[in-house]
Amino acid sequence: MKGKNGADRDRSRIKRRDFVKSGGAALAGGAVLGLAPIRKGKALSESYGPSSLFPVAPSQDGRIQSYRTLGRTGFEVSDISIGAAFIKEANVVRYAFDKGINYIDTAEGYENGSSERAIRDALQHVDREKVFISTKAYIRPRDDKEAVLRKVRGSLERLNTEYIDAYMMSSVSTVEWLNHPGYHAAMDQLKAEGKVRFTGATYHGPEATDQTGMADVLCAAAEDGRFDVLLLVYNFLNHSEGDRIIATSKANHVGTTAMKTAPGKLRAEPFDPENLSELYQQYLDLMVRGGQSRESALRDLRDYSDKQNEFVEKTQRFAERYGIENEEALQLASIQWVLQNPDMHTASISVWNFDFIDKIVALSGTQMTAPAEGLLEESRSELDAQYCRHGCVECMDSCPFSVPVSNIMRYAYYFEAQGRERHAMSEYAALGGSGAAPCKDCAGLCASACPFGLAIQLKMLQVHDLLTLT
Amino acid sequence: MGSKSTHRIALLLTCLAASACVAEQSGFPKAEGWTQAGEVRVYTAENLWEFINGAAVLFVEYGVRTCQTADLSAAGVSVTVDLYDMASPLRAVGVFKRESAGRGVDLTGATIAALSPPYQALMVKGSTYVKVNVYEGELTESEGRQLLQGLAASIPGEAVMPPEFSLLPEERKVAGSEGYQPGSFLSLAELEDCLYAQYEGSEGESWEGFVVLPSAASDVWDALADQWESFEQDGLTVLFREVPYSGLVGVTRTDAGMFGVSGAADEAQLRERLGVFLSLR
Repeated sequence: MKGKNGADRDRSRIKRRDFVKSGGAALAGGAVLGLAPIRKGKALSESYGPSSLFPVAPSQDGRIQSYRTLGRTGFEVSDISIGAAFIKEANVVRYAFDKGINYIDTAEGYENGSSERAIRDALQHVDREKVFISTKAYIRPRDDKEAVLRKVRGSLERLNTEYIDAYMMSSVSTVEWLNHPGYHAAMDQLKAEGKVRFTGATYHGPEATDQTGMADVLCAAAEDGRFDVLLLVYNFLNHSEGDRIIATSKANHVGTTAMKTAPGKLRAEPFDPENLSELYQQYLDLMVRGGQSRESALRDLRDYSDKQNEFVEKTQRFAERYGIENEEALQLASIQWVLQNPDMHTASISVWNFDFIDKIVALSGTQMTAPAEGLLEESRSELDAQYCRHGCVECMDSCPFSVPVSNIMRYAYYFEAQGRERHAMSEYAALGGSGAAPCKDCAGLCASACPFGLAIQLKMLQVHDLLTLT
Repeated sequence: MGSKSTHRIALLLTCLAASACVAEQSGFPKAEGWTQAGEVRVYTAENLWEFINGAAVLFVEYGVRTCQTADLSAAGVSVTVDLYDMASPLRAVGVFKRESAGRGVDLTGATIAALSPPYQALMVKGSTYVKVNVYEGELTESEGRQLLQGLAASIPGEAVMPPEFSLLPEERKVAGSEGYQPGSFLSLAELEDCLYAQYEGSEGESWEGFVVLPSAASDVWDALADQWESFEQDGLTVLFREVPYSGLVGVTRTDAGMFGVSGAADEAQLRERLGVFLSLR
């Protein structure tokens, strides 16, 4: 038998798909970057040294190093916790528990209930009182108390537990929704019965007809007095709303848990002037239609492509220097950035295998290294003015014509990134008078409306050209 | 590059705070006796999380392209029907197997189906995974069947199991136990594109066998060779490792493909099961 030293095993081989998974729900807010292929990293065991990106190497022996008080629940939660959206196997949960992770975020809909069943099986190996289980469901406005009770009983049955630590109302998108009578009536009863200990709320985006932002909803939840734990988007590119929520939560002794801790994914779009991709061809056509010569437009596209490549390659070299693929490095550094805020009580990370648990546990209780801060700084400088923040509706009030900026940006995305031209144009046409046409003659009152520097009016005009036959 | 052009090209970098969109046309499948209420909503891999929260992670992993969803009503029952376009029949069956906890049923016109009255009904037809959730009233088994069959009639694709599953040996296979996982099979990052099934042991026990898809076998083997331990058996190299709490997993490669078994208590049992699994082919 040939043996291999487990410590020498290359655990750095997270592939592009893994990064996409780890970003999970964060993808919609992701930046569409260029452009270089992903290369394999060196073994982590070779890469952790005095100048490493991360101070602690992943190890099967690693354990959580830091616990924080989850607001008024009083529970001491691990700074790294598990998002169980992708978990079906109990042993992954058990492994996390054995590492010292003691907060797990699940939902009735994760793996169609199999996530809760996996947690049930893992609970056989741990003292129930030592873990905090948060589960949730989408509570429709029309759901009454009985409907909510049925949902909770279903979760209790799948989890096979006497009580749920926190039962959250998922995807609340308006302040009014926080007053859901059925939810609160059910929670009052279940708390009295000892079936639910705490309540909570999450936000996942505005309603099409109501552009209430994440901070408005979750700050209201924190001040409401009936919600004990919040789950919010929080990452190094999207934290201003989160910072408001955290401050309000701290003042009201509400627990805070972070999701979508990495900002998005990298996408490759190689530039070859002799064989333009569909995306570049569209831009070339647009630029020529706008009066630019083909040669000039190609030069501009080349310059643009080079600039993007430079960033990606720089990041890649940076990552290779530390033996970790760039996407994974960015993801792990992003998690570590979240942990630097002591008032964010835990970072809830989607996991799907043992190795990844080792990697995130190694971040627990650590301080960011200078190289990791550098990586985030590089990423921030490149992405900051390009990243349309999830949950942000800051620009909406600035427009005298009520142009639905985020919706229009979404249609552009359908057209460009997904190649769904007809669909995008149809959707845009359906906006009728509320499209971006008014932007042509507007004085540009939105010029400074985006706190992150996105050139809103220009983008609207470009998208209007793109999505109409003009 | 001029600033105007820079901004124009910056469309490439568009990032979105997306929300669901309304379908441009109502081509939603119909079922006799059921009436569509409200509009059809369409989600993509990028914004599916707005609809199903973190559960979207599973669908993204399995390659979801779109999800169309609409509410349907019949006498006393209201349901939400989600149609997930999973890009291939294999991925549609794979995600069905991950999600299905109900009783499997034979359903005319469907590849595979499961009913969990009164709450839920699931089905695959072609590349489409259909998920029916009850939100008002109770769905009986006959109503669930009738609804699924009605939907199946309007959904394109073949009503047969994807051909990839024929890579799994039939002998001793526990009926209905097969599945497909594109990544992190057995929760191991290095095991990708695996077809799996339960097999009956000689003493009434069952164990899991799996096959790596031929298109991925070479890459997976190379990755495992770097990381796993190995021994020789009958002239073949066997790679193996321990899976936390659940014993040993081992794989080997022959001209016919890359085969593996999991859950072995020790090396002797691993050798035995792997030998049996290879002999079943």
